[in-house]
Amino acid sequence: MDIWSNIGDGFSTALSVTNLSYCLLGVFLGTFFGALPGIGSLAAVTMLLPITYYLEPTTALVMLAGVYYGAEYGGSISSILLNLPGTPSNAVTCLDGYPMTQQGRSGVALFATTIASFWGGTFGIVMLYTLSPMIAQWALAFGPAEYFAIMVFGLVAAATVTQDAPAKGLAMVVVGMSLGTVGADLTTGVARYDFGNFELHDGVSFIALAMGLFGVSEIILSISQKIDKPFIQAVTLRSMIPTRDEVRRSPMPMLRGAGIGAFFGALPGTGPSIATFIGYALEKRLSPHADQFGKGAIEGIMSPESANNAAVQAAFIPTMTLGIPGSATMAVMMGALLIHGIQPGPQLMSENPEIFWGLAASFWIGNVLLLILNIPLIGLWVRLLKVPYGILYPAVICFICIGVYTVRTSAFDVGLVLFFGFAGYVLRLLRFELAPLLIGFILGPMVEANFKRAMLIYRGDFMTLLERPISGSLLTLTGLLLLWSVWVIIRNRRERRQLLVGGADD
Amino acid sequence: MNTRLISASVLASGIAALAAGGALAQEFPSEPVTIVVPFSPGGSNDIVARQLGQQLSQMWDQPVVIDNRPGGGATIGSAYLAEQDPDGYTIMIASVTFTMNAAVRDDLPFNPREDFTPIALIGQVPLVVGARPDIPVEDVASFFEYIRGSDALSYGATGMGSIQHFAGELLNQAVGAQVQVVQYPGGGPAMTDVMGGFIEYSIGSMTQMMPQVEAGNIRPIALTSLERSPAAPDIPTLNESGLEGFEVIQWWAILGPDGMPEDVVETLNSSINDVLTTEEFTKFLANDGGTPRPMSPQETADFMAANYDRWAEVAEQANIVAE
Repeated sequence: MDIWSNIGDGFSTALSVTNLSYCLLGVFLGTFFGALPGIGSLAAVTMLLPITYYLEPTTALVMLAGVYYGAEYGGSISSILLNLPGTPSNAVTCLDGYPMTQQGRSGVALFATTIASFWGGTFGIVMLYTLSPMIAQWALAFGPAEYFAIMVFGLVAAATVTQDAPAKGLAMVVVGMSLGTVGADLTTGVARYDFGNFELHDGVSFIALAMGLFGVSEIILSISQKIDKPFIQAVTLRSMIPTRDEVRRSPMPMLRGAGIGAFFGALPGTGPSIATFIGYALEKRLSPHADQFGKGAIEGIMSPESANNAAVQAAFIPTMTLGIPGSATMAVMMGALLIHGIQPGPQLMSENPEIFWGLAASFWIGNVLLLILNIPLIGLWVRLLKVPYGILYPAVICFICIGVYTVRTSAFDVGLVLFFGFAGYVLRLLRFELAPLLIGFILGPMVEANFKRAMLIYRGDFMTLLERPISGSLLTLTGLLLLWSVWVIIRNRRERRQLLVGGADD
Repeated sequence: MNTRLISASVLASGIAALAAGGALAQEFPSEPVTIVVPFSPGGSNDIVARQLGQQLSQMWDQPVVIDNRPGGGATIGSAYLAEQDPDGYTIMIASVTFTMNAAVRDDLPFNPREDFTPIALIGQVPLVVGARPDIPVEDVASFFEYIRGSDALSYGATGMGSIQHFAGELLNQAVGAQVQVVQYPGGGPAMTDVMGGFIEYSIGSMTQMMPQVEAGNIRPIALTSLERSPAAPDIPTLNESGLEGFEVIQWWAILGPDGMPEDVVETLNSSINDVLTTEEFTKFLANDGGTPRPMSPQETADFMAANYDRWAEVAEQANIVAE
């Protein structure tokens, strides 16, 4: 009963003329920046933070949150149309979204991601409403050992995302993990692999890495190929209609994606990017047409986009209930609250109910606004990307550089993004997959740090990792996943051999 | 006709007076002033600098720009400041960590003691020893007893050479305990593991701790300042609980490049001190259990020198050294 009156109060706060207009402004700017390749949600939120200083706290938060999830929505547009992830967590959407564009089906892909995003967002909001208190309790059951176990699980899952060459995929995971070790080590303070370079003291910028590998390298590739690639098609409302088969295949990945997204979003330290990778990996494993993944399978965009937006909304759960930001973007959001003298944490819901419930209500209103911005007005965003390559490419490189520069106000990172662009180009020519590299980069340092913490706390006793119920079960699950994937490889090989033998017999 | 003339002349002299007054009061900042924040937006340095900047800007009627230059554990921003013209138009916020870095790292591209002009101290905030809610202690004395009595305990800090690390090792030295430090990427994650009961305690800022303390998720043991905080008068200090003289506080200061003209330093110092004594700023710091601490430029320089000496000593005893 109480929750309904809270929700009602929240909506009346969020529907005030001021909050509604700033919500619209936020999601509009968010979609705009998200759709531009190179500028992710973190950069967008950081860039727009200063203009909220003079707003009421609730209004400021409503707008910044709109920018955040608007950017995640918008990011899928350039992933699908240009193969450039608008934000790092849209990287997975490229894998199947861009092939759909190459097949002339970008309308369907855009429609599908919008629906998936809306559903994921809505699911995340429902979770925020109902599970905030429960998840807060449950998250506390996760200590270093448990984090270590879940990250290992994520890495093993990531290694199985790779389609053709598992060895190449694993190699990329290792390269990613190695890049992740750059920078000052927390425990010893030793700067690793920084070559006396202070810019590398804090590690390699994730944004520079992601934008270099997925943005710049794609542009170099396109220039060097010197062909006019299937250029952005006009996206009409009619072209958005999916086939009956796709409609039938969509709901389950979307539901599962939302669940995965809400789970990893709520867990501090993980977040949208990991959720999208795991959602994709799961669908690929479950799908009867796994061979279509990477070639434009609808499941390959439904699940990650649903997971992405569910995670974005669920990421507010630990921030708002525990005062613990789960990601860099949430850290900036929390900074915005603190600037306005509001302390996120368990007290927030009781002391500033209008902020918590108003913000939560604005999320849903914002998601409805995004639905409107993304379906009937999709032409606007497409036109934004429909500028000739000769103009678009230099502009995109500029946006990437500006975006990378804004995150750490570092000119060094601009050089880094160009470096990774060339490195990514070479790796692509050698047919290496780049997604596992990013996963290794994100998860590797977390695995290491949590392992170190667990070992310090349990004084070097490895068995503790297996004895603790949650970490033990997760590690067992990881072992089973490994065994299963080995079995799948053996089975496939046997089938192939039988096929070959059969062919010889004929 | 007459009245019009009079009113016109009154108006004119009024404008003249205003302009003259303005010119006198605003000799120094005749153009925008930049405050360098050597961290990303959102941290305590950034928040304090923004509040100070906003109030200075109102006072001077000049824009005050916050320039975030994060990286290298405040190294990049500090090195940048050291290279700027010492004209007072580029200044920087530095915290206690700045003086701790000097003790821990030998790879700084500047000399922390020589390359900067201390301008003013802003204020200070005590840290709280926050323990897991089910820690088996009754008071500060039994807490000392507890951590002295076991060698299987751990505490959380926010990185090698962080203020939490210094505070924790100082506590170990003072009590005669050997609680193991475990490093976290931030105060938040360290607190989560305290709340989850994975580690015994962490020594964090009141800003971060108090909400969890009020919610009953964290047990406050003691403050690390010499005196109790008005924000939490019930929490005892370590100083009054048997560790006389125990003090580890978070503070912020404003620095300029080396070689600033004395009158500019004085002007900046008195403007900043004027801000510190406003009700708005006092309230702002009080939100986090902090208090303003106005000092003259010389006092600020002495204060920082004392900090450099103290942390060098603690680092050596506790062997807090990078590499």
